[in-house]
Amino acid sequence: MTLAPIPDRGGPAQPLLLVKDLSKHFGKSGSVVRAVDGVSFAIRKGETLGIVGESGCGKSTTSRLIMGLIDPTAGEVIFDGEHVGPGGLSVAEFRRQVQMVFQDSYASLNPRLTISESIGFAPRVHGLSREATNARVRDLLAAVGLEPDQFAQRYPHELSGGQRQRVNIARALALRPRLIILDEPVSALDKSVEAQVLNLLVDLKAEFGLSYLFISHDLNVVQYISDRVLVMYLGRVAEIGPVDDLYAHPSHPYTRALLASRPSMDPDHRRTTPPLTGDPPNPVNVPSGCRFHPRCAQVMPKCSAAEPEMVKINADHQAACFLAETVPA
Amino acid sequence: MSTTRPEGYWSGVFKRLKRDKLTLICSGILLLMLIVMIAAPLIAPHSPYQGSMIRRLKPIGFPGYPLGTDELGRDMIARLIYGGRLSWTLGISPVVIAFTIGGMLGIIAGYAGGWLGMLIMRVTDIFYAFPSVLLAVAISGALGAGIFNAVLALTLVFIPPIIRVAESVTTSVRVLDYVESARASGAGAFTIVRVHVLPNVLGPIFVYATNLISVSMILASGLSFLGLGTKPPEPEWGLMLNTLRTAIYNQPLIAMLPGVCIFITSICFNMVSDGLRSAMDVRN
Repeated sequence: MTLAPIPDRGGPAQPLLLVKDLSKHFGKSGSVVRAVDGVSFAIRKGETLGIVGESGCGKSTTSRLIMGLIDPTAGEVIFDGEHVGPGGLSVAEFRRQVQMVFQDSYASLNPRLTISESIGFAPRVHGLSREATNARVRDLLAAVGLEPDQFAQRYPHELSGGQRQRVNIARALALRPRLIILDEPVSALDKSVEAQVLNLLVDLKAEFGLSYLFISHDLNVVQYISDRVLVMYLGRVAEIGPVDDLYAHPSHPYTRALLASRPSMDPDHRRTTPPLTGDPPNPVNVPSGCRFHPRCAQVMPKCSAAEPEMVKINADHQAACFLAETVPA
Repeated sequence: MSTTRPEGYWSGVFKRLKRDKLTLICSGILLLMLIVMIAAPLIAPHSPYQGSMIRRLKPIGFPGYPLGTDELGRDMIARLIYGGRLSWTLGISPVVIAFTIGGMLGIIAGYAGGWLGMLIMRVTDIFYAFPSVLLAVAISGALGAGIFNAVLALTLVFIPPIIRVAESVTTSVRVLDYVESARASGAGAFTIVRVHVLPNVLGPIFVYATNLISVSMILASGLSFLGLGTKPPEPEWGLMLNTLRTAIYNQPLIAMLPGVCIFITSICFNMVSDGLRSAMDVRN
């Protein structure tokens, strides 16, 4: 067994990952937490889709649902045209093609295993021989910018945060996946290391022909790395669109509020409106109608009555708001 | 494969242990006791069973009997050395058996969770409802006196607390990202437990079990004291304490000797267990 990269099937036009109406409700009837509630999106081949949102909006739950680490309440995941689950692509096959990098670089490495054992774990599980695994581990360490001779036999506590996150990226690459889910991969790193790791991710994407699902609460990082951005609010998609379009012309009041909350570097463009206040509502008691209406600056009577549909602003850009208007092309 | 080989986990543990004087002294005492007990036939000056009515309850320092004699005129040194063999067996074997069974059940309960974990933990709770001494006395009372039954009773007493520790440690490890990531890599539950869970939970469970050795020794002595453990004329520290209590007004020092042995052993096991705990903490 060689664990070669799995070839593309559907051609470049077919989305690599299609998520349809994914929902996860925690708890029993009475006090149900709607962590993720009917989320749909697509990741195209070779692109980076960024997901942004406040803490508790369901970003991480979405990533765990896609990985199959928790079972969805409803919804479907389609990978390269094939349904994931019984009757379609097996979960084992799917997991070979989709891997994940977590936020906490220390907790995501077993303290009792050497770096080389951690990276080699998945290939060994999938039946790669010891020699081939060792060779692959050395290649991967080199690819993520760590000298194999120096790092292969070390333990996680001997490495810095940035080095550990490089190891985690190498481990995610070990099965030659096509999609990597990055759950806040740089949030725990300091700024200079963050930039290095982001650049590494960009390089690896080209080298290995990857697609990324990049989850973060940092709008600047998402802007830098993403091709398209999805804004989540309380388990729902608020807005999705190409990064430049969405950052220049945010259509959802929540996206506008998020973007306005970024500290400005330019003294001539000081923020004049107050930033978004308050916490997101408790996902046990979701507000009626549009979930954002209690905090929205442009709230209208109908916002609390009905939930807005996704409105197509242009071919690629959609927002779930009554005020969003289709811009003629 | 590599040119630099930094220290592994266990070499780090040993390095920290070497700096811990108290733990070293206590393990030294325990080791010395073990050697003396193993070499008992060579070291003991007299038979532990051979008594003499004319040499009863001789004081410490009596010619030929440096630690005196007991109420039947038997040499105290020989009795204490041979008694240690039994006391240690009764102290350690229930803990070893309980560590194996309880550790396994606890890890299963912690990793599997769900109805299986629930079942294991609720049965554990039932055992917890009884005070441990009472439970040991009740079980060994029901089964009858004897070494085997005493070990069985103590094992049953120690399984629930070990299950509980194993379960809580496993639950805390199971939710860590490296276990999630191992699941995401498609590994089976057995492989994940073997590679990722076991090495990270065995340490804390082991330290806890070491702590139980002293408790087990005291409980075993208690059972023998009540006549539920070993039977006379077998020398066993708890039993000796029981039979010598009639001599407490004549020879209080001799009556104390088995208690002193129990005390020193349990203190040493506790100290070693504490030392292990801090040496195994990677953050130090």
